[in-house]
Amino acid sequence: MAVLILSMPVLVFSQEYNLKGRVIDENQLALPGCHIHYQNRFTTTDNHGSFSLKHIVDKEVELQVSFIGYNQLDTIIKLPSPTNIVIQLKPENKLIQQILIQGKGVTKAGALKQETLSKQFLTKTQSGSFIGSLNQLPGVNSMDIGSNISKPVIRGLSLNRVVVSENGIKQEGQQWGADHGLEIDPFAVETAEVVKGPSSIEYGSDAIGGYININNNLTPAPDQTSGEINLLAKSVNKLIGLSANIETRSNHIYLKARGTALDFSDYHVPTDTVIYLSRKIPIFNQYLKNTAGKEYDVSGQLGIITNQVKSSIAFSRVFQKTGFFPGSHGIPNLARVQDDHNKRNIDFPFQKTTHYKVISNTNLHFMHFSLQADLAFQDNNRSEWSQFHTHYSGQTAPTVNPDLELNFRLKTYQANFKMNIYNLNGNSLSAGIQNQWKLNTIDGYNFFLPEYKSHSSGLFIKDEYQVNPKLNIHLGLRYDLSHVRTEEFYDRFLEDYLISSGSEEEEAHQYATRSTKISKQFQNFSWLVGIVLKPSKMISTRLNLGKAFRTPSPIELSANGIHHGSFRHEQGNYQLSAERGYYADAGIEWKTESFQLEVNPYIYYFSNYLYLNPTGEWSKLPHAGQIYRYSQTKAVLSGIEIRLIKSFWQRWNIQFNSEYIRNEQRSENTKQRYPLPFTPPTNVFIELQYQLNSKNKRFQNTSVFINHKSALDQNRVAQNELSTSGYQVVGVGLNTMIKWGETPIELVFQSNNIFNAKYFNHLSFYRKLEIPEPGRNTQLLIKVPLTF
Amino acid sequence: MKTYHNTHTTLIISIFTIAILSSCNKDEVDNTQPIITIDEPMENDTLYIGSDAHFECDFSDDTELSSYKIEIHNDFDEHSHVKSISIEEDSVAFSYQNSWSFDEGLKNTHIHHHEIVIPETIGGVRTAQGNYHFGIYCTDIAGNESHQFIDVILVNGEDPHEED
Repeated sequence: MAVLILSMPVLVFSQEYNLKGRVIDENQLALPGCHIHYQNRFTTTDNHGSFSLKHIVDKEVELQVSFIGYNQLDTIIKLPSPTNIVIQLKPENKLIQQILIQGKGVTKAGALKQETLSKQFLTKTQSGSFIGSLNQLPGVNSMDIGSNISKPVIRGLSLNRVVVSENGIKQEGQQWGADHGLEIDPFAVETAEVVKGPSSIEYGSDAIGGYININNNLTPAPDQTSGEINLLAKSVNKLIGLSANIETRSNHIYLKARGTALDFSDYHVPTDTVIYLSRKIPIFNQYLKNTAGKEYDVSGQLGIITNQVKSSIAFSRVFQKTGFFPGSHGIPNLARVQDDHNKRNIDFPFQKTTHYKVISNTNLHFMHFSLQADLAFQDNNRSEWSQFHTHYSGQTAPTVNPDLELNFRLKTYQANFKMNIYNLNGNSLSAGIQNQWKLNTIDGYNFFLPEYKSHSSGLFIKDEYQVNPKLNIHLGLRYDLSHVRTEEFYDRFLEDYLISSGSEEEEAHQYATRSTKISKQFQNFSWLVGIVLKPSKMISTRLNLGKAFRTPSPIELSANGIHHGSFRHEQGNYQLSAERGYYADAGIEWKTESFQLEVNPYIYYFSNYLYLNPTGEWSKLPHAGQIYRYSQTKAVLSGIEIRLIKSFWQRWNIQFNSEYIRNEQRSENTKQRYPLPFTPPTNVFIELQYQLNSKNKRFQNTSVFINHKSALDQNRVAQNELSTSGYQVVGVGLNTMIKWGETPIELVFQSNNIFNAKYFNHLSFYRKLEIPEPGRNTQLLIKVPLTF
Repeated sequence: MKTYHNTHTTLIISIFTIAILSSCNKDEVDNTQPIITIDEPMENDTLYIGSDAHFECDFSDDTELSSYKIEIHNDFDEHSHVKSISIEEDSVAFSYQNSWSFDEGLKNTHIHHHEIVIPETIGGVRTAQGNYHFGIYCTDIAGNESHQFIDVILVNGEDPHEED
């Protein structure tokens, strides 16, 4: 990721050295505000990109250099020979995705495949929803509902099997629901990391599928006040987005603030009708009624940075309100899908979420170790609103909030502590403890999930041992202990209804007990052994073997009801054991300056996998078919990801990303060996980019691109899941930087699905309603930096 | 160094092989849903309060039928936009659900019965007239499920086609 040019040794004392350096970007321009870390010391580069470290006694200096949008550089510089260095950082999305060190240096690599997403990548893929940006990565997909809500899917695992965190704090909302969004300001993402594969050792049991971390606590450059205005406009849902941030730092204290507003209309679908439950439902003017929405986010951060301490406290509030297509709620009804001649209104049914978060991150650096303490409080208040309706003759609308159908309010307290020890005879050790307390309360005239309390603790230790410069061994061990207690819920209206429709009293009573008081405890060990081998400068290989474990979520233990539009009575099962599996994950990377090939095959064997199983028993709830009960089975999941990047003829760059997944239940009965639900089809993403000649002073860094995303048919489907046909979608775009006086304004103009193809996303919540994906979308993103 | 490398490469290759081999498994599962073809009642048909409903339907599946369920409930709030469901003074909405298992080994069958009785009163209160949903659900032996919904209207009065 960076080129180190080591030159001009300057000897200071016989025993002590000064290390001076300068950090520059890919255009040889100074990078002020880079974060340089050496042992117990912190420093940042000044306005000329220069830094210095004085009174160094060691012969080997292990430096870490990081900057927003650029990959962290870890290197060892041998003293006394070179003491004045030039460090060139390169943005992640540029072709040369590697750290080239000229001189004596070593680079580190994690055991699992990790993708760091730079500011450039996030700018180019900005769509108003963070997870939507990740779609291009091999092995990562988004599970969408409508035009602006999405959830991550990694290697076909999603919902409670993927952890999304912000500054190391796990985001806690109602992540079990495919139609629930992720409450993250899409513009408040400075950089992000995506780890594919089981990452439970360090990030908790839910990271069995993967881990996505969003960073927005990078330190601003010293003695500087700056900001940025982002404007985003999209045609497919008439989205207008505005986000502005400002950050300022005196020597040791910094302050950041951001506000974001997004407003979008119903979105365009390239079809006039959808066929649902054998009924033709009209889509007036090709706009899907009541899918408009809005989002208002604010956040602020206060931090201090000294030689030994970096500490920050951040507050954020995310508010989202989005309508549901009324044809997707219950039995299709033509009256409800009639054109209301208003594309921007949000009528019933709709969902609304407010997420408050306070995070405190503290890092203390000492000579050979560092301590980290992360504390957080989150309040996720999610509600689904639908005009009061009931099938129970005894039930009348509540006097307060009569149209509040479901409300889940989850409060989470988190406290994580970690210690890192560097360079202990070639070992880098970290150990930590993570604690989380959750309290869920409910409201609304409908019932799905009971109130619950839960507590979980995790204790882990990790070691990275460098056997020699070519061979690294990673070891990890984790112990998890968790406890969940659900509250009882008795549904008097259901009891009356069942008795009036002819049920026996005992049966009615049993049904009306929607949840019982239960108390369950889970504990387990998980481990990881990883080997990273670099036989030559160009090739690196990695292999991980491990055991993973996941605590069942309260939904899997105790849900009992019909969730929106599904016609499914979903029932938890408190007798479930924890999910357990073994995995093998491998990777081969071959990189030269103009070429990069990565191949990642993996196989997971779950000795206990939790899934929703159709039971064949008819539910007595109105509008429900058979009961789907959470059950456990054996399962196998395997796949391969391939990424190829090649630059040629100086200005051309081609990227190819592909993913293949195959999975199935391994139940005793071979006739029940169904594939797992929501499995992404084999897909390929190809992008060709051309960098224009930048002699023009007005337009700089201009490039144009054309991309093609395709997927094969997905016919391997879970029980009662629809097959989805393959598709091809083409997009084009242009990025440039315009100099407006001294101000460089970044522009990204692009058009997706330019042929307005009608296709279905197998992972979309709307898929089962036969609603196609959004049609052609043209969008413009403008970024204006502010300097004061 | 060489040995690490070889072992490592061998392991990675074996993962490739397992990943590819596991994809050659040929267990066939049943993903075909049963088919429901409703003959009676038809969309927007009138059902008479105080009579039994004439139900006639064909069910078929490629492997074996398991069972079916009939559910009737009101659709009142849709048109009236009232906040509770009592549409007529002193009347109560009718609701019905029942399920039946098919005989073992059946792939196709024609069902005809009059088991759905719409009473004149429910708990001493008049049955409400109006729009109702009539839902039919069917499962096959593997758990594949299909459903069909039609709209029916419940009215007072004599069924003019009283027969069968």
